[in-house]
Amino acid sequence: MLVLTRKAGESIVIGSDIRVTVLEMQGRQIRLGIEAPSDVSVHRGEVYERIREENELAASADQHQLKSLSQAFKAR
Amino acid sequence: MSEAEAQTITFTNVKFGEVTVDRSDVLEFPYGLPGFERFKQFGLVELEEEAPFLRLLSLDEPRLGFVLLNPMLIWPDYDPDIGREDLQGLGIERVEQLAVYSIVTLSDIPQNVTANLRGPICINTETMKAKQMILVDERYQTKHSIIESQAK
Repeated sequence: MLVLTRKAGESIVIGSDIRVTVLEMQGRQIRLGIEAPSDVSVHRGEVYERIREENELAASADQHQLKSLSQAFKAR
Repeated sequence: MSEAEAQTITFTNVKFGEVTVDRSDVLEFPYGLPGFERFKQFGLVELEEEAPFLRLLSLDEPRLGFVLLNPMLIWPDYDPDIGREDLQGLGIERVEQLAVYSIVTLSDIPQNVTANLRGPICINTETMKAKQMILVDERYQTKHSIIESQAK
């Protein structure tokens, strides 16, 4: 991992079109500003991880479970 | 190759066997899905005996298949705030072009069957380009019980 030290107001540039700027520091929190092309997704790390984990749990859908779920659904 | 063959694609999924879909039902995920970024093409399969659920099966990886649900059937007030840039990335300009689905996590225990409302699958129904969005909205989580919500 590349580790850089930055002050408030300073930034780093990733590639030619992504810029991350340290806006301010308040106690234990740091506010970052991110400029990136619209086709680059930017997410909070922990939310992205939750989506990835749920996708992995859902990724091997089973035909029998699906059929019985559909039947249970229609019976209601 | 006959004309009918040219308009369909047949592939295998380990859990669903041999599957044939119309080319018009093949979704293109340019970025894949989080955790499965390498897989871009999925067949959307809708069958009466599995309604109201749909299958989303990878054309490239036989072990990869999801189940989808229109979340509005269970949560009529579901109102995900999808960024305009995300919609533009799919080429969506009008709401009629957009279809939204939730991935369902199956389980043998009915209460553990959940829908992911935090990461909706958005589809441009004209181009079949699709993307899993990641919502900022804290109202929605990755696990919402379908059975418990349906009973309400």
